[in-house]
Amino acid sequence: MTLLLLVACAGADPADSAGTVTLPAEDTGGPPEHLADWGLFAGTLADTVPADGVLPYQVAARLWSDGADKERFLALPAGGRIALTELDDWTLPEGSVVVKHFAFPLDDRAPEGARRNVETRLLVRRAEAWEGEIYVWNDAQDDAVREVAGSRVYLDRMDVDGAPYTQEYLVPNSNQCESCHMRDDVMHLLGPDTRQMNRSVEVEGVSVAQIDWLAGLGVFDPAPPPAAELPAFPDPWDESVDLETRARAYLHANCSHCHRPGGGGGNSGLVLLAEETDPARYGVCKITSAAGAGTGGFTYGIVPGDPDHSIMVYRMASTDPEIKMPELPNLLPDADGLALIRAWIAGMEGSCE
Amino acid sequence: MSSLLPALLLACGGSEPDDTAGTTPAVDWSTCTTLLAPSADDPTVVQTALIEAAEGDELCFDAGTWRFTTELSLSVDGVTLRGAGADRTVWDFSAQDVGANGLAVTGDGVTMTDFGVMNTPGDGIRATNVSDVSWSRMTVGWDAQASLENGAYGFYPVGSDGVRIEDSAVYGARDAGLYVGQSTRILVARNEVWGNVAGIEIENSTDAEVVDNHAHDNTAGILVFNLPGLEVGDGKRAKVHANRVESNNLENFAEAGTIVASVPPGLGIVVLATDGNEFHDNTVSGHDTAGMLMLSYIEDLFGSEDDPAYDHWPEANWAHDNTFTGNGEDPQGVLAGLIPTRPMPDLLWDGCVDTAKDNSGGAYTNCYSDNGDADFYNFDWCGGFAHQESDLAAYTCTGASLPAQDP
Repeated sequence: MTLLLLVACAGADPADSAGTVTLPAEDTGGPPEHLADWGLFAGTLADTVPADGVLPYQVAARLWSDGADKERFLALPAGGRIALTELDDWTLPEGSVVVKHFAFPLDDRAPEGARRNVETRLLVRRAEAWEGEIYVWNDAQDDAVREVAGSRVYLDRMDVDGAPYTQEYLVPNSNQCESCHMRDDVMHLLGPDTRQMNRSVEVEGVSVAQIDWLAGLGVFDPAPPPAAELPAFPDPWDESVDLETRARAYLHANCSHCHRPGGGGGNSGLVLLAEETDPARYGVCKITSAAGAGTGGFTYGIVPGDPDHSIMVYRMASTDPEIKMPELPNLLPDADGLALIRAWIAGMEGSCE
Repeated sequence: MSSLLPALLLACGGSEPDDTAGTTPAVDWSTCTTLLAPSADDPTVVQTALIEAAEGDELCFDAGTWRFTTELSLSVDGVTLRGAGADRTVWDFSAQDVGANGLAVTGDGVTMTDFGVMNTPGDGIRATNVSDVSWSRMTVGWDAQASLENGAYGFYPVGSDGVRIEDSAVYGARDAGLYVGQSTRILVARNEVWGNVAGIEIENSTDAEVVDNHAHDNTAGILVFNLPGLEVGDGKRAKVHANRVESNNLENFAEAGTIVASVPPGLGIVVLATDGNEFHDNTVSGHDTAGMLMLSYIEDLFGSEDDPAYDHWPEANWAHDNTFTGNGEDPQGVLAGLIPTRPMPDLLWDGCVDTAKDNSGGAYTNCYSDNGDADFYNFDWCGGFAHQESDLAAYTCTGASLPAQDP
């Protein structure tokens, strides 16, 4: 496979600085087998240094992935522009690639130190739809190979006391891309939406509004309003922001891809979009229909003031495949997220009687 | 395709060798796109086949026990999955530790036939928001009897249009064995369900036909429910007929907090807050509590709800030409204390009506006719039990005769 990412080095078109991607032709026998063949990274593959024109980005409220550190990138085709909307995911042109890279620190005492790359997920904008590809890194860390059926990776790590432990990590199968990204039979982006992208990032040592920075690169058409005029999610752990807003942003990021109308959990009637305003719809005193063992013996999704009797907390804390939320693909509860949701529920007033 | 594991792809176009000296019928695999056999790596082999399938493919699964540790998923449209028989091709999920279902289907037009799905920690087979899903000659079951470790649902189509479940068996589910939720155009025919909390449950669904099933030894036999707060509400027009509903007296082993956990054992047919259904020519026998219970959504029993679109009352249902025998001898749960008559009457109603509706023409009345010598009893929950009545005259009428379904 030849280098697929062609980078324009000059030209009046400002978006050329966002790079260009050339997808494999339909008749080349499917997507590349090796991550390197995409040409997304420069230098040593394992260092995931973005190639020229591949843009790193960050989200405001991250999705919990068993504690993985994640890097995110996007690449646009030549002349391609992004259409920004306030609440929905952005529209990227055919030929775009959105990348999420998963890695773990080898030693929890040095989270910024040596790491083990685990998987790199791509969403590739084809003519008809987004398609997901997953590349799984080898032990030697010099290659990542496309897998479709998922796998289990066993990570040798050191804990905060320096004791070795093995963490099991699940790489999803390619169908499971759809379990988060698909609703109403259409694949959607989850990170690149205005509220998630509207945060500050550091560019060459300077803190800038990410959307303003991207706008300055010319990636949008039409140009969006200044970031300060656009909606934003907070960092869910930024205590200068009110708890309700942070909790709702967390639930949006971690749950609303399924728990919305048309999503995989839409049938439950539980809507965890941040813009949902009806408490009964986002779980307050909401009974279940098909939760089975997921109720834990409790009656309501959220009981104001009582996280210990709230199904939401019970399911977030579970590791039982029948009970746990999200269903896939984590093995470990998100302790920080759980603490946030518990605090939010504990502070609610009212009752379900 | 199938380049990953060519050694596991058996030749198609022939018949299975008769390696059991004629004790089992040969299976015709000639129509299979791919025939797979159990191996040491069933999760990878099968999931890869499900991902790489093309529309119209028939994936066949040879006899034997297949072992899975993760949920399987199928999103391709128009695929058929076929085994050698529900008790010969067995997908065993006893060691599953990932995923809430055994098999999760999101492709349209998927057909599953002639295999078993066993011992999933969560639900057996779920189909979410699909068109035209079909199961026939399948088994979904749990070996442990009435165990809290069993999964909640056996068959679990939800949000779907065009659902067929035929000639199949479900046992051991700790919620509903055969469940259809928020769906339309449904045929549930000739199945046997036993050892579940609810044998068959049609919930928030419209235009179902439930016919010729045998529901026995569950906590409750057949449930037609409408529940609040869901994406799809206002289910109606289930035609439930010619079923054999027998001795559904199993202890209720559902998780507390679920709706079915509040169902007392010993009920044949339960109708909750759903309208325009027809129940006829069923045989309902041997239930400790009662033959048929018609209920509104009672918040004291099921939890408070806050769904402005929700209609709490069962209306315009019609039960006729059913046979009730030997029910109500040993009533269980809250009903036993409310109704003094023994044996308990066969046709129970909570007496709750929507006083905001004008029923002077009888359009909302639940009708009963020609149910042999079955007794009626309105226990007047909503009137504080003050006007309990057993005279059926005011409710002897006819409702809408519903069509068969052929989704």
